[in-house]
Amino acid sequence: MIIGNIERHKNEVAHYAPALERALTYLQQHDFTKMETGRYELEGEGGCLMYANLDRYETKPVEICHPEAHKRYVDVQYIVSGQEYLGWCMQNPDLKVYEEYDAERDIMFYEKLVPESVCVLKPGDFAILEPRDVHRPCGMIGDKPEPVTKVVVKVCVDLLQENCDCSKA
Amino acid sequence: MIIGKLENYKGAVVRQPSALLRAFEYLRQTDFTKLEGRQEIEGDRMFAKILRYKAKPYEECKAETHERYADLLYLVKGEELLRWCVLAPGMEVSEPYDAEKDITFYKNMVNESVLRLEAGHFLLLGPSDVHRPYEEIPGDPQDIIKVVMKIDLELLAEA
Repeated sequence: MIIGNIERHKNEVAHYAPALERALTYLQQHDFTKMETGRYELEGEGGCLMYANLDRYETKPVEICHPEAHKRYVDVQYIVSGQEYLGWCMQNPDLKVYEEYDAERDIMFYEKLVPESVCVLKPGDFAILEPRDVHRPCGMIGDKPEPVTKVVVKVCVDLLQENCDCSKA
Repeated sequence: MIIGKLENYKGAVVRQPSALLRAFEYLRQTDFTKLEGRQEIEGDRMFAKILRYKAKPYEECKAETHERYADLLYLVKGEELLRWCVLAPGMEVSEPYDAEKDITFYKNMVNESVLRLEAGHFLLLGPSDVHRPYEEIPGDPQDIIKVVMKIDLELLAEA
């Protein structure tokens, strides 16, 4: 997992793959407060290589959130407004599956995180989650649900191969 | 801040400067169970410290940043908590920057995340990553063997 703040991401000690730089630049250059909730196609036919989901929701108690993982796309989760807990652990044999992998939605769920790390995400923060990063977003901080505006840029794993031909759709 | 498991970290997501690739190779190839203290790798630009300690209660841990070196932490044995947040303006310094030790300490952290580190995990921390390491799992203070690699930021800026 990579976690940081969009204002300082260029100061990080390692450099991102070009596709992720494009995703982070997209996040920096748009004012999402003025955009509608929904899907935005960014690269590839129908956005199959990269797309963004702009979502507005209320955070939920962590006890009712199930951690998830993806196979096809890397998540770049970015908080526009609000704050939430993002739980995290690495894929490992101690995890119990809650919902089997759904290829159409590219998602599977687990019972709970094993072990549990908890990150706080605030406006401007981003988290990059690869298929090996099991994550539990949308967690409520404190005892009341809070409204959050979040953009998730989905980056196809094909764009992140070492020698990928990024022009193929 | 980057966190992962050393054994399967291929870094497709991150274009690794060659210094980082060399650092990972060092971690993969070295048997730390018998090593102690400071290990020179590339003089003052890249070296490792092998730490052996018992994880401590929260109150005994301090939040810190570095300016000259990136920290590449690698847990060889044990489990501990590490708290993290992004350096933000107005964070209160408790001990000003010590250039010899390359360290600043802070009175508190803001919106801290709590990471549970296990053996095999690595953590890469840059100058904007405030971190508070060495903390015990509540009720379970473990014996830790940790490698702290220091990599000069100028080395990382090279290709």
